[in-house]
Amino acid sequence: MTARAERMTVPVTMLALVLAMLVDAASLTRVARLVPLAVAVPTVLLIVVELVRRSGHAKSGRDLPRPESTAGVGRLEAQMLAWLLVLCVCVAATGAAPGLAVFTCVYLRVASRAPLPRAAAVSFVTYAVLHLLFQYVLHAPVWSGWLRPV
Amino acid sequence: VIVLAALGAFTYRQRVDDIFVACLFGVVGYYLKKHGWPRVPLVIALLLGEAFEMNLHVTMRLTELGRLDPFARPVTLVLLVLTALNLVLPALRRRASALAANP
Repeated sequence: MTARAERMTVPVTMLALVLAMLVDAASLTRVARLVPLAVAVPTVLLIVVELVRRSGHAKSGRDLPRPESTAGVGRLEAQMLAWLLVLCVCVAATGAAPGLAVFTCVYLRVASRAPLPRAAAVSFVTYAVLHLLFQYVLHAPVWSGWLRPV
Repeated sequence: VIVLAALGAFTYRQRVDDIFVACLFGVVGYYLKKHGWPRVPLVIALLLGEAFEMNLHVTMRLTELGRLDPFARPVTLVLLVLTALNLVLPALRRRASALAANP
């Protein structure tokens, strides 16, 4: 991704969210539609004004809050994104409590290079705490997802 | 930190989907921070947005039915003026400092 395209990620995402809100509001009555419109118009205006200001600064060469361009940042970002995906897969497969424990074990073993006994011990303690929390405080099902035991 | 954040997201409604949403907004927050966009307005909007939308809707309905004239109330006028100033003042201040730097 080029630096310019990456800089545009945030405003484009925000504008897409506003657009989604407006599309969602299309089914409302005429008066009710005015509320999301009243929220959307200033939001879009502020984003556009900020974009114009930033492009003006970029053209005149003035300093902006620029992204960190250190080598390797992209790799770290990709790694973090991958870990978040692993967390989501773990949670979706087994539910929040076992998923978080499995994620802790995998993360400690792979990213932190902890020895297997320590990773297993930390994960076991995590699971035990979460199990008790889910069972007696939250009253939520401990196992859920695709791999839950029948 | 990730485990605690995920647990916090789950306990709100006890739904696994909220963990995915938390991850998604974590990525969005990271890019907001990286590119210097303020995160506080987004958080305030997420926290107060529901109450704001509901009260704005109620006010609009009452105004439409002739039960309320918000522009006749001093508190509303003061708040509107403060909001307008809040929008205009940063730009005016920037222009003033630019003029002071390059007279």
